[in-house]
Parts: sequence; structure tokens; C-alpha cells
Amino acid sequence: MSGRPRIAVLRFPGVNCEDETRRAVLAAGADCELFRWNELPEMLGRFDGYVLPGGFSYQDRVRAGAIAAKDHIVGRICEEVAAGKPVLGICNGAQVLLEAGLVPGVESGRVQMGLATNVMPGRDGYHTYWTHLSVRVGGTSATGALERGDVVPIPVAHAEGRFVTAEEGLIEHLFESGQIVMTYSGPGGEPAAGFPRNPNGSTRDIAAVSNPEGNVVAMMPHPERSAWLFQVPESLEGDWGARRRDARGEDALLGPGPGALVLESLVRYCMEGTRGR
Amino acid sequence: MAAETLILTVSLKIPDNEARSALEALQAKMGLADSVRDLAREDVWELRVTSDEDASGPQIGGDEERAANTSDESAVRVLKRIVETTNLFANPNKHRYSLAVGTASQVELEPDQMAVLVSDREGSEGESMVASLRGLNAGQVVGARRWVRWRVTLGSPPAREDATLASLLRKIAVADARDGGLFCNPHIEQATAVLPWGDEKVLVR
Repeated sequence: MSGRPRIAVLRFPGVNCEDETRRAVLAAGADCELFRWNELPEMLGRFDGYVLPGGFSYQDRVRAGAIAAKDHIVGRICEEVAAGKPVLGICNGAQVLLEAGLVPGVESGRVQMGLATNVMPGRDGYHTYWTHLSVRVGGTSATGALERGDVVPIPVAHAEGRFVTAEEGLIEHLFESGQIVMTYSGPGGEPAAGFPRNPNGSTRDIAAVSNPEGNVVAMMPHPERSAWLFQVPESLEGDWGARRRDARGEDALLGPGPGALVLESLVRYCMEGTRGR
Repeated sequence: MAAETLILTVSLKIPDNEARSALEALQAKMGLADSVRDLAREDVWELRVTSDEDASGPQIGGDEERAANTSDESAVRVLKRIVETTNLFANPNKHRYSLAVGTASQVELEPDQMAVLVSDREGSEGESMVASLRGLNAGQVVGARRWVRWRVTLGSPPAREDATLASLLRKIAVADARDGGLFCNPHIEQATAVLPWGDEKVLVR
């Protein structure tokens, strides 16, 4: 592919992160458009990649992501995935991908996981927090611009973000097959060791899961909320917090933040496909 | 006095947008327009309630609530007082509720209706509710489990011997694939169906 890839950010009724996601994808080097749920699904074919953004599709009615997963445009997304195009699902978008059976996709089309309510000591409900993500697998549509062992701070904001499955042995299989793309960790990549670094009780600190091919990734943290350095809090631990504290002037603050690397990975995947995992 | 199990059923007396969206999904997105004619939704709370003065937590109500001929009656009075003073279960401006002794799957159905009850596998909603109630001096509720009861009106009354009924149930209720059902993700929820003639069928354990 020559030039900038074209990426669609899907807008279901109730999502609320589509505009900032589009801006972050544009900054990452792609042309980017919003695509409404009630547009003709065939029109999705003209894009090279897709983002399902965060929010509350269909107001989380029935269950987060459940109704959007049945939408006709998600049916078309399934076809584009089979053709090898990349998809990134962020937060509610991740919930849609799981409900659609696109992730983890060990058995094609089957729903093999769920995102359960947060488990946090002494509290429940919605939780926002700056997490550190340790990259376990490069080369996917979310990690092509990263290396195994990299740590990227990205905030979470959700009430149902705990990856779980009722299938015996599935989690072990996903780790062995390289489908657990990112896990919650400390700022140096050390294990999260429970709350608050694992912000929701997710099984074995799972933060992002891919399909077997690596072109579809479902992640709970919001990379568009750390796409520029000015979005990183000065108080954050680790390298990115230090970069933010050292940044002086508008040019430095408008430089890429850690979340930009995730979105650059999507753009790179559109242009090059996988580079090996 | 031992704890009694009571059923609190809460439904909207205003239009239910969630049921409307679910019906739209079943009919227009999932191709079940011929099979599913209508849909209604209720919250069903299975609550363990004690009217005992020695209940471990703080209590709403007093002698009047405890003065009853049977422990069932007493527990119903206590729970009614809790529902109406805490507003946690029902907002009187938009909800109606009823109280009964029984189980969540006891429901009266028309010949063309089925009920699907869905609850989270871990029961965390119930634990949160009990904790919230204790914070509001309603320690008489010592256990809680919430079910969403979907009342599905079918295109036509099913027959007991209808071999396609089981697959239709799964197609409506069990979200095990994108082209599967809607109401229950089997990795985080459990589901039971109640058929028009009263039989129960566990869909997801």
C-alpha cells in the first residue's frame, strides 16, 4: 500500500469516544472517518482497517456490547477480518468483539469469553485509573509498533472489564498461542500483583486479547486518551511520567504519548500486515 | 426466627426502552421476527429476609412489621417497608413491584409465552445490594440474587412435542456465537427458561 491507509471508526448509538479516537488515528498517520451503524454495511469494504471505540453502545442494554454485536455492520466486519484486515476494539469496542466471537476466535464465530463486572477490594462499579500495560506479543494490530517487554501507560474507564471464560484450559491456550497481547503490570513491567495495578480483577492480569491471526485485538484501556504527551499526568510513575515532567513547550507536549504507539500499530498493520509475532 | 426467601418483582410502568431494544435486536438483527412477537422485562430479586430482632445488621421497621401471624407474613411486611423506604429496588415514579413467597422461576405465562431468567454467575449484584442495604439500616436482608426475567411472546403457542422449541430457545437466549442468542453470555451469566406449561429448562448452568 502506498499513501495513508483509510480507517473507519464505527459509531453505534451510545458510543462516546469516537471523535477523539478519530483524531488520534489521524495523528497516527491514517485517513479516518466515522462510520454510522445504519450506513450500508457494504460501504465498509473501502476501508483498510477499523476501530470500535469506547462508550456505551445501545446504552449497554441487555449487556455491554451484546446488541451491537448483532448489528449488520459487525457482520460485515467479520467478513473483512476473514480477509485479513485489522480491527481494534477499545473498551466497549472490546466488549462488542468478544460478544461477536471475533476475539479470541480460537473456534471461529463462537463466543468464548466475557467481560465481567470489575472485582475490586472494598468497592464495586465503574472505575477509572491509569494502568501500565506490559506488551507480551508484538506484531499484532495493536502492538506492531511495540516490542515484547515494552511498558505503555494507558488509562482504563469501565465497570465491566474483567476478562473471564467458562472454557477450561482456554486461558492457558491463549497465553501459549500468543493471543494475550498485553497484561496489566507495574511501571517497570513487574507483575501487577492485584489491585490497583490490575484495576478490575482480570484473569491473570489480561488487558488485551487478539484472535489467532493477530489482526483483531480487544483491549480495555483507552489508547486515544494517552495519544499525546500532554494527556499523561505528571505524577505518573515510570518512563512516560518522567518524559511528561521533562517536557517543555507546546511542541513537546503535543508530541506522541504512549497510546499513540497502539494506534500507529493499527496504521502499520494496514500498510504492512503482520511482521511476525 | 429463620430467614425467609421472598421474591420481589420490579417492572417499569413507563415504556421499557431496554426491552424495546432487545426486541428490535431479536426481530431485525437476528431474523426472529416470525418467532418472537413481543418482549417484556422484569427484575426479579430473590431475597433472604429475616424479621428477627436479633438480625446481625441494623434494621428498618419495628414491632409493627414484626407483628404477624407467620414468619412469611412478617418477612413480607419487613421487606415492603425496606423497598418503600430505601428506593434501591424501585422508584415509585416509574416502577411497580410485587412481593411473594416462592422462587424466581414461578411465573404465570400465557400459552404463547416463555420466560428466560438470566443472572450473573457470581452473584456479585446480590452481594452489592446486601451491602448497600446494610448501609441504609436494612440489615434484615441477609442474602440477595438478581435475575432479569425476559417474558417472550412467541409467534404462535408452542406444542410440548415441538422438536424445534429447544433450538429456538437457544437461538433467543444463549449468546454462544454471533449468530446465537442474545440474553445470556454463558461465560459470565446463567440462564433458565420456563415453558408455557410450567416446565423449567436450564439453558446455561
